[in-house]
Amino acid sequence: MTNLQHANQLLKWAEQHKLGSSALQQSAQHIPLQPTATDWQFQASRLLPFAAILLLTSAVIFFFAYNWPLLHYSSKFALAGAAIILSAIVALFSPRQHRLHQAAMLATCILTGAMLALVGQTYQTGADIWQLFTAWAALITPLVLLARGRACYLLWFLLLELSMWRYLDGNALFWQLEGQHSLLIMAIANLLLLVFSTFALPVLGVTANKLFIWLSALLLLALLTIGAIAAIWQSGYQPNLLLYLLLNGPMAYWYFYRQRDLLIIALQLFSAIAVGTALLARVLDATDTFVSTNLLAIFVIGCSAAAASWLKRQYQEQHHAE
Amino acid sequence: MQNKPETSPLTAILLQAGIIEPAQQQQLLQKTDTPWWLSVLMAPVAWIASLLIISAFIGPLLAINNNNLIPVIAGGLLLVGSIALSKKNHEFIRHLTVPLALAGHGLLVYASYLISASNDETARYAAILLSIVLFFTPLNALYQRISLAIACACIISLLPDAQLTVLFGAALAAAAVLCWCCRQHWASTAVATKLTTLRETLTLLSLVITLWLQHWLHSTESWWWHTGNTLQAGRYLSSLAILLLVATVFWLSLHAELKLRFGLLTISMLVAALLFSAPALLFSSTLMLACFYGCSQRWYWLSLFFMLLSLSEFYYSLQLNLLYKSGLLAATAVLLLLCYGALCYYQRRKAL
Repeated sequence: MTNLQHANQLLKWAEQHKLGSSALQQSAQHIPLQPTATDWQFQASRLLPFAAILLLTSAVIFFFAYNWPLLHYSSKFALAGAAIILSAIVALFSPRQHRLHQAAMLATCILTGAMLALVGQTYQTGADIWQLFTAWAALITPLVLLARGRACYLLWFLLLELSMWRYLDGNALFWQLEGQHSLLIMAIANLLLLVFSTFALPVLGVTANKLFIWLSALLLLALLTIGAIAAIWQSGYQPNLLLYLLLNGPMAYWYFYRQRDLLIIALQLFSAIAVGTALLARVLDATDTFVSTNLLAIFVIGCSAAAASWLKRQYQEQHHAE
Repeated sequence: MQNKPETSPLTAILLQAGIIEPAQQQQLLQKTDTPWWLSVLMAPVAWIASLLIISAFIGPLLAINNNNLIPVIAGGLLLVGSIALSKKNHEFIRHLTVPLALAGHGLLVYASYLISASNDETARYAAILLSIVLFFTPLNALYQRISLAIACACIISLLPDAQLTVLFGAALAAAAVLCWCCRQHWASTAVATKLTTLRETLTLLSLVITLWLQHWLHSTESWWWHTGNTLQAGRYLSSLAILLLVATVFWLSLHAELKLRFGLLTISMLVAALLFSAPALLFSSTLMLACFYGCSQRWYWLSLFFMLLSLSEFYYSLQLNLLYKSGLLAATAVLLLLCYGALCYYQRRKAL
């Protein structure tokens, strides 16, 4: 993959007119500017098992969703169980670091959900969708821990987020600003996920944990920002604003000085601009519309341009010698 | 803060080979491109700021009187100012120009709406024309991307029927594939910066539009601006997706052995035939191959993400029943597993 990254960098330099046409041609003699046969084979050996397993598990889900009114429920369970056992056997007997093992583990995790949905469909349990997602996430937890793969962890993350979302959305209406407690609970849950992704995932064997950190940080900051903006207009949201103010400082310190994660810092800065704009709009509430709109526009443009140029400078410094 | 080494393996290779001078090495090491996440964050902010500027302008303009010339002058001044500021070599000013240019663009479109006696069709034509003209100015790449996306949305809204919309979506995808496949040929040309902006915008738009078309053509929802046989248009979309996939595989395997090339084309045709009812999946697969050939991992992963979205959307497509779709997916999965088996066998034989 390093060759491809180098080729991409060379082409980028050429596109930015930093590298001339002849220099690019000369470089091509040392680093091929397109994937070699080995690159294609490597990528195919990574992609094909996951794509096949994903399509196969989707096929199983589509198959059971068809309902089959004439098929006896025990036959349906036998079929779903057989699919789970088959994927588990493949996972068990394939070498631990092999891609097939990871793909089979992912298939087992997905098929567990299909089995749960089948139980709900057959017995008409009346369970809410959040209960399905929670049970699914809980059941696959040992498999995810064993698999140590990013795909399995991503599925687990999505299930946790969906179950929380469905549970809290069922009890409060986020978008009508009636869900201050739900927003707060969901923000705290995402904070826990962020802490888990940052500290626990590397210990559990997932060293490439950036995606999970970014996902949980994005959701955490989105929820905190919505709560903080709402707090400017409604007093019921003040705990949300308090949490927003309490968390931003330590987060900025950790992700800027310790982790040097500029994406999270960018999210924090743009979230602060959003909250600042809402605050300014509140202050200018009684002012003439022309004046207030112009002031708001100047504030947004000035702050975002300043934040963007500062972030870009930091990015350039960080990547100066990579 | 971590200390970074002063050299990189790539520049060291180039320096050792005598391709670059030590002074040029330092220049190459300085990153000048905007990170993707900053563009993603800046786009909605610039959009909101431009809306604020437009609304701040429109109120007083309406209050003065119904003089159509005033929004033209205001929009023109904002655009000329943005173009002039874009030439400055200052990061803060460059970012400042994006919302200003968008506001100027918006005000000129509004002026065209007023001049044409509130005809929104004229305003959409004006938006497209402005996007095309301003694409050739030195305005910021982020502005160009947003402006091109607006132009595409306007074109789609102006197309009279579903067949033409399908043709437009497929043409966008084909143009994006072409840009990726020929990247090394145009990378060092004078228009490379413009083509980079165009390539990225086209890729994103074609991924979104083909997914939307798969959803819309196979659903019962109706779109007010479109008429015509959507079922027939759906078949066109699938046929064009197959054509693009096979043509891309044909192009990418140009230098492969004849036997391998024949095998790859057969596999791609089989996959395309099996997934005929999921054109967005075929389009995103084609773009994924093209992005990989164009050496961009980021766009490769984005195409893969859109493949997952297309697969999820396929579940809700109403033209086929779930059992039939399940069979198609299972057959495709078996075919891919066979390919994986063949690849493992080939690699093992090669290793011996």
